[in-house]
Amino acid sequence: MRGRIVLRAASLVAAGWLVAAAPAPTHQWKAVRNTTFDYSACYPADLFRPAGASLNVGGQDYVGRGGARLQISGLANQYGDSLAVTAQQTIPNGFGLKRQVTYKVIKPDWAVLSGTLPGGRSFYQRVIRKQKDFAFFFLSYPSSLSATYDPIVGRLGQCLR
Amino acid sequence: MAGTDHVHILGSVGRGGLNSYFDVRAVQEIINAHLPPSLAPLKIDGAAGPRTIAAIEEIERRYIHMAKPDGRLDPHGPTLRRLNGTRKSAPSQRSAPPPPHIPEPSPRAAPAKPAAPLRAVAPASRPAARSRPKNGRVIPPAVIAAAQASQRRWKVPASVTIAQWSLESGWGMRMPRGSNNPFGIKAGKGQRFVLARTREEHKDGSSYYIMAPFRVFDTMEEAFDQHGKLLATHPAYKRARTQLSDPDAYADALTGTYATDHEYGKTLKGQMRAYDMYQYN
Repeated sequence: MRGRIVLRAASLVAAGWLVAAAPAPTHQWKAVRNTTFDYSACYPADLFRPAGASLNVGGQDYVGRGGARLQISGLANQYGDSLAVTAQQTIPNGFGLKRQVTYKVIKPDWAVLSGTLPGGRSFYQRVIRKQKDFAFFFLSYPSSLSATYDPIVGRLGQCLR
Repeated sequence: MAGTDHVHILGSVGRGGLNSYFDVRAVQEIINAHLPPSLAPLKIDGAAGPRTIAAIEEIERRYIHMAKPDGRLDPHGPTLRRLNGTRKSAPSQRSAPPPPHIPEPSPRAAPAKPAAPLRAVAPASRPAARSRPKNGRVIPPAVIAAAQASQRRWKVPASVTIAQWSLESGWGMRMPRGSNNPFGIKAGKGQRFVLARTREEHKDGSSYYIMAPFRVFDTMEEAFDQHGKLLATHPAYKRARTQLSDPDAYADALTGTYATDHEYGKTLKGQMRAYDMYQYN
């Protein structure tokens, strides 16, 4: 089991960070920008559609094929919390998820976590610092659809700025 | 926090202290501002843990030469006086919150209504000069006017509203970006919001943090009005509404309802007394 998790983490990492070297599936990437938190991002519009008009002035939820979910949002940091605490505790607590992290990189200005969720799902999360606040995306999808969604995490991460 | 050079706390902080969240944060900030070389900077988390207590002890040893440091700072005690006295500049004046964003059309689904800049309003009945308390913190005239307008409409004592504003928003400095929401009012179904960190308490009193949706208001006046409406109409505040003529009792009745902090009412009363907020009722 542990070997499978490590393998899974390795495959996500490879998908996320080495995708530039491989022929990427062609998607219709759509750029978005949020002026409240001053970040830009992108998503594959052929896989995801906005989940209705957003009440979140800092971002948007998207629903994807096969039960995938994507949230791209700003996160106010009025208490000056560290990026590490925000990425590892505040955001997952906010989602109320019991997740197992299998891959984690925490840097001063960004953090990436990926792993598994109950119900046979995988997740990938990236958080970046935006001045005093944060911006992040949180992608989750059925692990059975990893062939579809693993390849997009690299581009999602690259265009979250 | 860089630049902290003078703090006022309402209760004791440290070993055996009351350790209210905002007091602990204030102490951690001023210790960091006067950090002896032997100490690493404290994490500003509002929790009086072993490192904070050890830092207080070190400050007591170093600055007031206490033979047996007790690891506790009291509001009017010698250690805090010494720290406040070693400031390099005049006591800091809280300024108005930074201007919120100017929304632009987004390629993404646009928010229903953009947040608007704060609009200063003229004080309703008190001159601006009376908004400057003796201890240096400034209550903006717009805040006083909005609290008094809320009292006229919803009967909530203006002093309690102002005390809540000061506590919940750190004197207007800690509002979630673009929210105009100094009271930390959570968003309900169908209401615009920004995501922000909020503190929750376990049953044993320990803290944990979650990401939660906070309401977005177009103006600060709207936030004060909605705050008044909430207190005047929500069943949770029924007991408080029986104390409209007594701001202290009203504040006590908010404990355990408006905030989970079991010292909430006490903290509000301390704030009202320290800054003479009763004059605005």
